[in-house]
Amino acid sequence: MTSFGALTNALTRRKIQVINHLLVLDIIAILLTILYAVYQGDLSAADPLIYTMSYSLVVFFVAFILIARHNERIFVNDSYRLVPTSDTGLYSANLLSAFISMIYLGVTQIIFSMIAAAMNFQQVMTTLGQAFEHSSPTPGSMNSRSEIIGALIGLVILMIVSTIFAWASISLIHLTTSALTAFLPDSRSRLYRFILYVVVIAAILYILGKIVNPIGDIFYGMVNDNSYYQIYLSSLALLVVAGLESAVNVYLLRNWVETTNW
Amino acid sequence: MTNSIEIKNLNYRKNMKPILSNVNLTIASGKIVGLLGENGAGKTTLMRLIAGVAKGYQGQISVVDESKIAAKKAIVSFSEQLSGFNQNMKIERIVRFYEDVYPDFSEDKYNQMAGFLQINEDQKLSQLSKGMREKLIIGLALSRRAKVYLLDEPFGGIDSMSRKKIINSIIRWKPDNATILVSDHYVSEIASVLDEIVIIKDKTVFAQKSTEEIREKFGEGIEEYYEKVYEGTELHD
Repeated sequence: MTSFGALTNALTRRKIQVINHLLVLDIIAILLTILYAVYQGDLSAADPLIYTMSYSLVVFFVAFILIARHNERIFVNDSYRLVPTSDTGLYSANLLSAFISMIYLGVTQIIFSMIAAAMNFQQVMTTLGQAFEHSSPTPGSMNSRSEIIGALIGLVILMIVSTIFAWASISLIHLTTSALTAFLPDSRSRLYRFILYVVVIAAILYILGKIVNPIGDIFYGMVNDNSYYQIYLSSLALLVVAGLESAVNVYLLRNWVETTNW
Repeated sequence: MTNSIEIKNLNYRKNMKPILSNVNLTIASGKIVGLLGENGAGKTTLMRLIAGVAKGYQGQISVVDESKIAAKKAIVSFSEQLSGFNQNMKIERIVRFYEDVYPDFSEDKYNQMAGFLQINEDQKLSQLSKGMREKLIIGLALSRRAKVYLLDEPFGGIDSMSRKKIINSIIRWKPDNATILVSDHYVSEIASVLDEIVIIKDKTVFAQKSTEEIREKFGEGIEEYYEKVYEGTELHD
């Protein structure tokens, strides 16, 4: 049997490759934008950080889509489904490798942002302090560096958990559609598949809506409405729902979802 | 002699159509068995069911007494078409993936086979001809120290020299106690290496005969027997 670590490594390697290609494009875009601003003669001290963070959003979005696509291919491809491991192991290794690749992307983006921020560090911290002032546990006193960092970490965690939740939801839609396809008359028309996807997406969004809100309510009642700890609790609620989705995904993989590449 | 594959009362439907019905099949260990049938007969589906990648069937499928999917995958080597890999991926990376995820993958065996089949690891998947790609698929599948090998139509659309090399690889690198199930719809290419044939017709196992029996009892070649079965002029058990 394949060890979980070996499988995770193998799956992560390919995803890191995808991220590396994106990072090269990211660096080129940032440098070209800075050079253009220098050429125009209007490069301010804060601009490199603004450019870096702006491109970060694009890079995260594109990476999210590419990794999601890669995740889904693994579930329906013989090259991966034949690996001697349980469906739970494959699903977990796939999700973990996607997570690691996004952490890798996140770390590189933090490094890029730190390099850009180093040019104007004091102003950056002041701006961040002002931004979080209204979400402090005691409004008006959000000036300590630890609180700013706490809120920032919370946002990063929320972003990561949201990404995992979104991947689990995409998998749920994909695997449900794949499983249903086997029970319906054979049709390879795009319109047929499109309609099926629309119906499945609508049904899953409806069900998720019914599940997410009650779980969120359980956690939200625990702290002050204005506290930035809400960010952590939102992450926890999303993680619970992602766990439920994953359980359904593994069930579908184990019993109904076949590979489609033969 | 122990059995490597045992299938009981297998029924499999897809898209509201029966693909395989009431399949019962027992294959003893150590044999090279030809899985024969026309296009669309269900040969690939049967292999995928044995390999554990086709789902939603009724009945029992056990491989060397293992019926759990993950355990079956550990002892079955299926010649998958490598479509999960990026076409720009180098062969060496695919080999590394196999080394990483299959604990029974033998690098030595692969290197010997790669030399024999003239596989160039520096090439990208997209640069391979159909014959070379098939050689790579067979090379990777046979490089595992598995108990059962499922080779799905390894000769499709490739030249006679490549066919000979692949057949020689099957003979040369088959472990003694391992079973090889090789599917094809052209019998002549593999007839010489087979111990037994299984013919899939009418969505089920229509006939299962040893090649020796076909030659002695029926006085026919494998190809002739297979054609007669398909034409309906040969009786089966």
